[in-house]
Amino acid sequence: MKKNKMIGKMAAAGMAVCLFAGTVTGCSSGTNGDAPASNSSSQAETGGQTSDKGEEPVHLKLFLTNKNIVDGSYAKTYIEEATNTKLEIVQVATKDLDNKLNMMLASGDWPDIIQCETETMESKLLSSGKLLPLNEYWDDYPNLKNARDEETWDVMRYNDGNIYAIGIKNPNPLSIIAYRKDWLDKFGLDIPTTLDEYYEVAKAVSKNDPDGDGLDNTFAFGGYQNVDTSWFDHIFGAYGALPNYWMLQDGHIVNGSVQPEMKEALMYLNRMYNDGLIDPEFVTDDAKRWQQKVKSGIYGAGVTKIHIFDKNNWSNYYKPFKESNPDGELVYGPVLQGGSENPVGIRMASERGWLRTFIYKDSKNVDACLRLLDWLTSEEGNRFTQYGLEGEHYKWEGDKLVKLIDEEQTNELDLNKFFIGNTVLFDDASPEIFDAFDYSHTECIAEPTDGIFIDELNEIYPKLEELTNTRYIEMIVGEVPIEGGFEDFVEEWYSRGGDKLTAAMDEAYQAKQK
Amino acid sequence: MARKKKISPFTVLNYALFVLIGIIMVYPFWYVVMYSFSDPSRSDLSSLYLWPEGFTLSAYAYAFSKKILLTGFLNSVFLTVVGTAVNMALSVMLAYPLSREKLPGKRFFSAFVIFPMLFSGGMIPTYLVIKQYGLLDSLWSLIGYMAVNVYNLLILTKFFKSIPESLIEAAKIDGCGDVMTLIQIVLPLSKASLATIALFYAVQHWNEFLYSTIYINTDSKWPLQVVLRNIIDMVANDLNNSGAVTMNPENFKMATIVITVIPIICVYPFLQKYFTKGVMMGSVKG
Amino acid sequence: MAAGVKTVRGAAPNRTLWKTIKGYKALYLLMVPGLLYFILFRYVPMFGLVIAFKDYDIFKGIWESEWVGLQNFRDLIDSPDFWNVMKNTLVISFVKILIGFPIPILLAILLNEIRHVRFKKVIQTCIYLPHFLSWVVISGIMLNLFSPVFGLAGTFFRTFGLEPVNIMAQKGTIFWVVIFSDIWKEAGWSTIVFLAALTQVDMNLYEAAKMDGANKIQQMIHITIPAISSIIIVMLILRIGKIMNAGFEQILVLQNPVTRESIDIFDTYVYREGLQMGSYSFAATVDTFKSVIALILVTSANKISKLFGEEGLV
Repeated sequence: MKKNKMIGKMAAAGMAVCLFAGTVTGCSSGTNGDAPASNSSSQAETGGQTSDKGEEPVHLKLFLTNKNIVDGSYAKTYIEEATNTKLEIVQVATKDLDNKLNMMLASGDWPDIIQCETETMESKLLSSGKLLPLNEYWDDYPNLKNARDEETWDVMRYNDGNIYAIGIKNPNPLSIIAYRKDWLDKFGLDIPTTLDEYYEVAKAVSKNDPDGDGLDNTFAFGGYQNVDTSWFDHIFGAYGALPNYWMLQDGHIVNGSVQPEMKEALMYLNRMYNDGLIDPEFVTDDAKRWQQKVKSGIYGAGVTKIHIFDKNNWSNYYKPFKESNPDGELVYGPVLQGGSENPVGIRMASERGWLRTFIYKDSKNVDACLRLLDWLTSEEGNRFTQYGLEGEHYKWEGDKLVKLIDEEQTNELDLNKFFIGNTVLFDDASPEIFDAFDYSHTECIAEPTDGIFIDELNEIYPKLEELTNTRYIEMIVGEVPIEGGFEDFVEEWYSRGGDKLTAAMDEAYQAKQK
Repeated sequence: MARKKKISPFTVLNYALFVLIGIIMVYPFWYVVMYSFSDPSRSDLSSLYLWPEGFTLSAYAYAFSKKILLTGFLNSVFLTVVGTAVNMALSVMLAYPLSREKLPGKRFFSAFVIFPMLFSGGMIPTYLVIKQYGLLDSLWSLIGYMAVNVYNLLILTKFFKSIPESLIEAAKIDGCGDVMTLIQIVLPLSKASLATIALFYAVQHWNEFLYSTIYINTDSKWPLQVVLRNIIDMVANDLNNSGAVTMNPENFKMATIVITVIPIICVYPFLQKYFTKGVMMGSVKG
Repeated sequence: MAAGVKTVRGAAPNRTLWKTIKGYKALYLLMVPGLLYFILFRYVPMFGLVIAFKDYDIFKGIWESEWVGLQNFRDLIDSPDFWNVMKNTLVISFVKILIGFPIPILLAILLNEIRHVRFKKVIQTCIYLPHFLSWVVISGIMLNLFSPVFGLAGTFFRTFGLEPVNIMAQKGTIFWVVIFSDIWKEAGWSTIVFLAALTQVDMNLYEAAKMDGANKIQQMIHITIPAISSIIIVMLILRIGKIMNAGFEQILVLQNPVTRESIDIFDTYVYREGLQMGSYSFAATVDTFKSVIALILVTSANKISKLFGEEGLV
């Protein structure tokens, strides 16, 4: 009964609020329009004065993807002391990031520092006019400014000329065309350079029982479900275009999905599928099952994660792979010839980096936000957040960094968790991964429209990407015939807004070139 | 009554059927348990996980090494116990009047509670309202928002209705008021249905996840489901490059499922004893 | 009920009505906390339904956003996917009810026949376990079982000399995968409410039936089912109220590029094209549309059940 009274009280209080403000809607939605903006900008001035080189730590609210950072942990405390801040971190699992942020923003609850993953959210934030232009402040924050080269900042530049975001810098791309060298050797084959040679290799690794277990359970490659169909990039690329990718053709922007060459590529893939060279479960596999398969070594010739080349076990690929395949050895190969006059390599991720970070324009403590980002992007801050302190948590052996603490301790100290505009360091990686990075970088193609944000892209493109993915895979597995089916798809693609989008993208691209 | 026990073909078939169904339906959970004990390095794509592949407790060790797990567990227990108590109190207090045929305005009140089952304000408006009430970042937001479930309310109303009118009239004649009738006659007769509804509510609270992520910011207030999901998200996030987490995300996920499911399935056997037959009969005679 | 109302209306309306209401004072007071809950947490947020008639921008707020009238609804109905989604939602829900609704009732009745208490309890616990696993986990297990290369299904096909197929990646088979996996996961859990209802059946009726020589099947048809029919009807009407929700989480994990269009339902559609793209107006539009359909269906089902002499929802 007590509980009921409690609820009753709560209810009564709530009712009072309603009546007081006329309607709840009146107060809730009215305030997130102009009121908080003017409010906090007036506070911003006073905040700016007190927190300059203030004695009191400045309270900052951060909205970050969840890393289980614990309040009072070693790394968090260290960063707070180094930047004279007190960090309140709202941590959200990657999947729920957008949803949660939308709720907070809709109720006028702006964090000081915001991290977002999807381009949808990014586009929304960029067009809101509520973000801090970093470039206007960064002469005072040289580390932040120097964290990226001119080229990257250019990609980050929004159409109003300002730069609002910094991403986590990763090597790019993270995929590579790889072959099982031990299997090639076993069958006396060379690394393929043409589509015909590739077919022979694919056939050998899937049909000649390379692992010798008597079962038909090896394949050229598989894939998992994400809309960019990048698992087929080595074939599509050989035919000169990449689906769901913008490309430059005679100075104009076109989409790879609807290029006529793709029809032949689909036929090639369909033949591979019918011959049992592609893992038939690529349609249903999720990322985890695909990873499990890669690590157990059932794939011999196709696009794979570059991680597997790091003998120091980056992202835990190499070790499990070696455990299941003691003789297993991987080697990467070039873009395949013989499909198109101008073959292209595999796709790159956006140069803007993973998880972009923004500062709220009307934050009470803009300078503290900048100070924090500046410290995190400094060499000291970047190395500390990933490895800790020299002598205590790691040491140098020549140019290679050796960790003195194990993974569990790293976790306990909250090291390797503050990924906010960092550059990912590979001080502890094996030389093989650097070779792979260099190689993949020469063999890939960048998207000319990287960094372009227009409304149409946000509204139409996701649907078209989905459509492409659906129709392409239907054609590869033979649910829809390629003859006729491809032409229908192209028509559908254009009629669902593809024509409008292509024109708009081209226009935006041309404008950016000027 | 005292007929000799004769095993009929029906009985044999019935038992056989349930053995089969039991095996089919217990398999997913069995799979999860066996997977959670399996050695990640021996993961075998063709295993059905009838037994663990290898044996290790590393996934559990990893989970229990997280201090936040205990906080999450306690939050979930609080949410479930207090939440279910609130649910039951409110639902009984609503369902009983709604089950009284003669209550003037009954049709209106019924429509009033059924309408929100079909129409809701949506996620953002609800969030704004919860924020107005000052409940954000508090477990009370979840208890408040989920205080009555219309489905459970209507089922409970139906159960109350099935209590013979004569019993209630008799109590009235004995001078019992409505509240006393509810407490002394109706509730004791409805143990099975109350147990059922309580179970539904408790499970709903225990499994609740979506609103917890939306309404609760502070990690020390997260219920178990959110804590575990976030650890999984962290362990599994392939994009988080140099973080060389060697824990296999799948094994870990399975272990977390076992950890979350075990406490709530322990509740059921306690409720099962109320599912005994002939409760009604005994009391009618008495 | 009818009688009571008539008397009230018959003589001196106001005073008698007031007297009647006063007589039920305790019952009304009991309802107050619950009704307050409905007002505060269910009705107040309903102002948000206006989002469906606006072009909602989270930065402008609900009131400041632009009115667009019925444009969102027109966009929904004009969308090239609308009829496919509508058809899938209704067909999947309908077949789920047709096959999935009677099974728990049958299971509960049969389980009720089991006299061995311990066996019964163990079985009860086993069959409701899958309910606690998320669809992500269940689909993971299904991928494992139905894998044409590594799974049980592959072995099965090869044993019989057939070409292994991936039943989770074919337009023709995915529908039945949806229906039966739903039964697999939820049938056991759904028995609970019927088991509770069965405890209220008068045992004397069975004794009397046995005297009359009725066999088990006849007893079930003539005693058990009528005795729990009011609960069955309520559950059915409630289930019909959910007809526009054909199983969001389930469909979402079972969709892949090949099966997407064959099992696309409103909830997955709105997730992709509304929520994931941050278009809350579109999501609210679809929700409102679904709610209106559900309201019509529930009211009709309620009327029909009353025509058949049943009580209906309340």
